[in-house]
Amino acid sequence: MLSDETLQRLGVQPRPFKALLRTFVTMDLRGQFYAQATNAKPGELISPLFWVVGQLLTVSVLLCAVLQGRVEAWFYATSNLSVTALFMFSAIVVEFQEAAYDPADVQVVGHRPVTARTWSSARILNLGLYVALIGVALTLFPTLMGLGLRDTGPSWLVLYPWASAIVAVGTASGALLLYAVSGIGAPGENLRRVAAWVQIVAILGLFYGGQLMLRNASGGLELFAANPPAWIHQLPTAFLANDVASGGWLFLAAGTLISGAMAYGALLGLRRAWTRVARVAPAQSQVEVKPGAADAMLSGTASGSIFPSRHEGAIFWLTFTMLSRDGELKSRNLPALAMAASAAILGPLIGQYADPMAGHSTDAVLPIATMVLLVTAIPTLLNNLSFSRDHEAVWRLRPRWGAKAARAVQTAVHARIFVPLLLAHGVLLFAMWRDPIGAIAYTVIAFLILDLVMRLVSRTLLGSPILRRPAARGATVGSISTVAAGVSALASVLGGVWFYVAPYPALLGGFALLLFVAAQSVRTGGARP
Amino acid sequence: MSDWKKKLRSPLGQVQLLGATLLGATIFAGFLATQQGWFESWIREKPPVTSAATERLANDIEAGKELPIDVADLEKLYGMWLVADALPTAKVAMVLTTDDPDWFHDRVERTLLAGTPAQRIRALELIQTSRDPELIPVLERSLARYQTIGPEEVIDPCRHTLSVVGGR
Repeated sequence: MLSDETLQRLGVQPRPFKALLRTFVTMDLRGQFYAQATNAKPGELISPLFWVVGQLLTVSVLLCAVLQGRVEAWFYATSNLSVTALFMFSAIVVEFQEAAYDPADVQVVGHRPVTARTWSSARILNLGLYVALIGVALTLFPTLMGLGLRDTGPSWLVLYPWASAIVAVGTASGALLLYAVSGIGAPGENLRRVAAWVQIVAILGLFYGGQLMLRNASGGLELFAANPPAWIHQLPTAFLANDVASGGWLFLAAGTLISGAMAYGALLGLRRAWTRVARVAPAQSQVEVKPGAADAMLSGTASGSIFPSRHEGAIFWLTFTMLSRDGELKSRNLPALAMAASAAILGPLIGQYADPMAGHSTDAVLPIATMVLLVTAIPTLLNNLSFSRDHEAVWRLRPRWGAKAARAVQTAVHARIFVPLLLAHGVLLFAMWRDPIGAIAYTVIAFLILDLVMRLVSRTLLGSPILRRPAARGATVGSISTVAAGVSALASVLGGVWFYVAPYPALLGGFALLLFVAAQSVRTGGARP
Repeated sequence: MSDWKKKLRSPLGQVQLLGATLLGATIFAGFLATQQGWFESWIREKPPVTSAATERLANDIEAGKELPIDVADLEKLYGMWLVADALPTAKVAMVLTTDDPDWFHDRVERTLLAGTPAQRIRALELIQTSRDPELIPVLERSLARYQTIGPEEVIDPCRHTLSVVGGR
């Protein structure tokens, strides 16, 4: 740990710095699972942060297992370093508010005699610990399993972690610099959206890679890795992998300097942002609401003709507006929808998006898989709605929360997310299949499945009011894993049935009717006030 | 509430849980690192078992009969080529190397990557009969790989094949 003298020389107040750092670390490890990140059940022993680490370890070991024995050291290192960069960027983008910059800090610490330098240093060191934890989780398996490759030696044990540290620090710093350059706060929201879409594009690449591996009966992965396209050699991670595989150090040294400079730049940028935030915090805490939407939210009159009461109308508009405007919510939602979007983009590109109604062809699997992937996003979307920076205002919703309120939330999710996506997808299907009936039938059945599954999970995920919890690190992953697994299994079963009945109009009609009846017979959520 | 649960709910307990998980992952990773042979067994060439029909097809080709050949037939013939070096081969080799050149290039490259040493040597013999210069880059990459990670017994045949088809 840094000594008091060193901290003072750096212009940091030692005691406040240590107290803040201890508090931040404690909040990461304890506060989130007691009352914030999970469903606030004291009985749960596993914190969301632990689930995040477990998820990254799983991704890492699976990637290593797929590559082990199939590829050479250079490709092995390039792939693992690239995945480290992707997940580090994703972690910083998606959990930026909790990991690096929380305006609520200003209200707690701002009036105390703590300098901006002390405050930002504690935040940055806390962020550094988070980056280190993610980095270790993503580095452990490739470092040790890579030693088993035929073309690696003991130097791998030093060079790979070195390269991975460069990638982790460089990526995290790069993401932070993007925020710092764009101006943290309201102007940064657009950038977050862009960054989240970058994540989607990256997941698109992973999806394609995964598909390649599934079709590996013809040795596609080995052939691809033995003679990769030229652009892979131009990736920064490929340059580092060159040194890792060959025992060199030139690119590693250059990478160390560059990532170090980026980290220093990110530190300065964050410190400047913190100082600015400290000055303007009260103004930032105010919520900007469009007058028309505000009227509707408060009175419910705009939707009075659709919903039985103003209360449900207000909840519908509140949910709809949050889904439309809240950049943080959007950036949490986008990754959940990314896999379905990837499938819908890739399917037509690789010529495997045939009409399931035309017959039992393997080319017709992907359109239904897209639907399955969209359904599996439901738990995440509903869970994300439980978080809000203004969660303390949830008392306004709590007294009258019930099944009708939960249904209003579901309707808003349909109206803002699923219906537009299904319509756009339906247009795509019509353009591809030239079969309006097929496109309409697909869209209707997809909607029925989405509605049924949303009603089924709403008892668990909408049993309490939306916007009731502050977001915490790892919150989007851990607490809903059981529900997500169940939804995934159910979606796969429904997708399988759909695939088999699709070519038979009578059976398909019966399937649609069954879905409709099942959805109507499900008692929706909101039982617990 | 039991003591271990109380401890696990504390910040220190969470740190210890993370530490234990990373330690377990380290041990598991170390174990997996020793299983390279098991991982490689999944990608080894597993040519189809030679059937009487395939042998009949090979004999018909060798006898000069004009037959429609598709990729499935080529796969069977290639599998036979990899495992049986005593069969009549001249015309079968001609069919394998000229009937569908793209298939042939991909197929031998896969064997050179993932075959057993004996299978790789058989694939190199087939390349020698083809004298196909388009395979020079594949042979050069394969030679570089064999010189780095083996198997050593394939280095000389690969170098010889490269000289036969016109490479360095």
